[in-house]
Amino acid sequence: MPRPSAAPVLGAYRPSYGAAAIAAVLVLLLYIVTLAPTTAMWDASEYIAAVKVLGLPHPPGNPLFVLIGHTFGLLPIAPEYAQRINLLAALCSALSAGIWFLVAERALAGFGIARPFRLAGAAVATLVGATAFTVWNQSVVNEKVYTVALLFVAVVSWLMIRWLDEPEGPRSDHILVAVAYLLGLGYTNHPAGFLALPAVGIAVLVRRPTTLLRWRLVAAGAAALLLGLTPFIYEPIRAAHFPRISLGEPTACTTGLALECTLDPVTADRLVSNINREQYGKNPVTVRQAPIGAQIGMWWMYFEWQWLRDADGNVPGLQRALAFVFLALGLYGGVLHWQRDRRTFWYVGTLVFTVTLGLIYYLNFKYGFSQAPELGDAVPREVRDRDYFYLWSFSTWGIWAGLGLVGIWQLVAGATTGAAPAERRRFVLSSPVLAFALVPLIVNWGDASRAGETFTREWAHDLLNSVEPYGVLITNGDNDTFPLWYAQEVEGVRQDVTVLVTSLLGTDWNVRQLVRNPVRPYDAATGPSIYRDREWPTPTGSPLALSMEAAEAIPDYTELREAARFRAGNIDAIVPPQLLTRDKIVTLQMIRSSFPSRAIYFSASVYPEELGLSDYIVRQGLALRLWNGLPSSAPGTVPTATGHLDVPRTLALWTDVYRGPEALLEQDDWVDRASISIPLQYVFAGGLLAEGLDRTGRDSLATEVSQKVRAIADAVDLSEIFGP
Amino acid sequence: MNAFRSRRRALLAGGAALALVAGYVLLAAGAGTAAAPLLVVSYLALIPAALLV
Repeated sequence: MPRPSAAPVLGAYRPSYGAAAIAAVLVLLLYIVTLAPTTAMWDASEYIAAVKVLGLPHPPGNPLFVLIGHTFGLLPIAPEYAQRINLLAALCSALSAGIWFLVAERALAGFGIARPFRLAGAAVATLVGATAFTVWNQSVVNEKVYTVALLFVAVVSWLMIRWLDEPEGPRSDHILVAVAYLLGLGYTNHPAGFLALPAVGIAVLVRRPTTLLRWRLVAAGAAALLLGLTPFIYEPIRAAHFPRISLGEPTACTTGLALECTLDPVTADRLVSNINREQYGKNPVTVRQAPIGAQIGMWWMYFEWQWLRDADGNVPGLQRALAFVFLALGLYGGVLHWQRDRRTFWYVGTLVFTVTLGLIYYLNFKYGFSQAPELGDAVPREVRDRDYFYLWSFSTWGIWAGLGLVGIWQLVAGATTGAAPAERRRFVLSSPVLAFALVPLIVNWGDASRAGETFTREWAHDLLNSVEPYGVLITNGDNDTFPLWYAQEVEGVRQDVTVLVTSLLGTDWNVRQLVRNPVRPYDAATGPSIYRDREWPTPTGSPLALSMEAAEAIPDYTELREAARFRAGNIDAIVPPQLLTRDKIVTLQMIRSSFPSRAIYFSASVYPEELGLSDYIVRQGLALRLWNGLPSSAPGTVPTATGHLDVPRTLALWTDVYRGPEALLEQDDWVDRASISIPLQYVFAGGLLAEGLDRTGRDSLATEVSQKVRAIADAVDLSEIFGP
Repeated sequence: MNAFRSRRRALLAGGAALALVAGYVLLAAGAGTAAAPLLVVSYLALIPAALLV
């Protein structure tokens, strides 16, 4: 017996799954053409490396993502591991685009227009959402777990749209149970998995509120939600296997997985702390980190980026005008949606509200990195631009912008349904109006595409190869750290180097890992030729020679009321008075226990300054080496404006080892200004090398290096540092 | 027809649940690379198991 129609107004509407699949494939092709060939800045390397070693990325740990990513990494779909994970991001985003096609088509069914025009409208909505700058740019490299989260939001949305059209009965109940399961499962990818929850709640309340009184269904939904949350079991199990990347380490086990320690309350505490991201200690939403107006202003700045990124700021007027047009289109589409298909409006409208205004309020950001530059450092700022947090906002805005464009199409055509031949002709003749949806595709291509970008990989190789075999490299975190994890864990490059991350060393678990992790051998055959002049004996243990008990006993901090003398090898330094935090205590302990038998380096000068070690620092290429004595007497070093430079070693690295400069010259652009400090490292190191060569009488070589440095600066829009 | 669908759903759900348990056993045993695809497929299989009527 045919099921009674729950939506007679929809007429002959049936979801066009075939057309949606074609839309998804076309979007996937676009993303493949513009796909990053390897890793990228920020969290991309962390996630790719964590996926490879089945580890735990930063809290909340994203267990479902790691499982999916690891599975994807096993598929023979691309030659490079990173490419396969990037393809996962592209696929999830493309599938989401296909689902938004279905959602837009269903909303347009309420407009009453004929199917061919409905499909055209859905295609337009899909195109706008998929080519919005952030959606596109985040879909061509796996920088975050957000495209997987987008897919969860999209799938839940489509199921809810189907539920809205479904009469009450077992089938609609099963849809709700599946939605509850997917909400839980999506949460184990990222808390963004719950973004659809308010829309689900509103849709149920508006369409069929008595559903909430049916306790068996509610209980089934709760059970499904809990089942969906079970991937969190992954975290304590894998943490007890001690993978190389295990942030938070939510386990009480110290020597391996065992039932007793896994069921210990300490494991539960650490797991809950990890899932709740307690490590970050964020302010409650009631304590605003910036005025709400500024937070909305941040969203608006990123909204402007979506329709014309204009990273170089060449056409700000046009960028703003386009943003207002797309804002108006979306709002108009929303109004039409409200007027013509109230049933699906409640769901889609609540979702758009949640991922826009709701998210702005909840995320409670400081001023954006690029926002209001005239305020400078007078206001607290985010360390980078956070447009990616609004990926869902810009993606769903495409649906309403598409509906708005269809509304304009109807106005231009002077037609409503396109059913009669005369109306159909008018629709066809006025269809060029839809070409406006091509604008983001055309104007964002240059900035959204990551095709051919290999710099981050080369930077990781270069920084690791600046370190002598079995050396220790002390880094800050993020862009001077995650790419190194990628190079070591995914490509197997310079695994002998111990990377100490000061922003993580303040945690007890990271200190345990430093003590526990075995030394990995140096492979001279694949290492740089500059280190082939001697044998490198393998150290016998961790650079931090402490027992696990002693490591656990290191306090969070100790107050150094007076300057303290610090001696290691020929170093005789004065540590200034300060609150000596755990990371600094561990670093000083490590230097004392392994220096000078192991070479120790820093990625930046601030940290050795804080430890009173500046007088013992010598630059070797991109890294700052702790010197066993005052460097003024060291052969080959020259004093520069920012400290001593080892000219022969830096020259050898610059000419024989580093590949980053060529990658930057080839890329010839740097869109993300928040990470410009990394290409700047080459400009800085190269500039100092040119100065050192000049001082030691090698003028022609100095000129050659200078010219390359200038070319790099031009390529990444840093030429202003050289002045006019 | 409904009975057939119910049985199919129960089989799918039961199979996925068993595979889920097997996946976590493999994960605990250190066979993560075998466990990951099994767990992913099991979790995905539970979606249609909930939907099929």
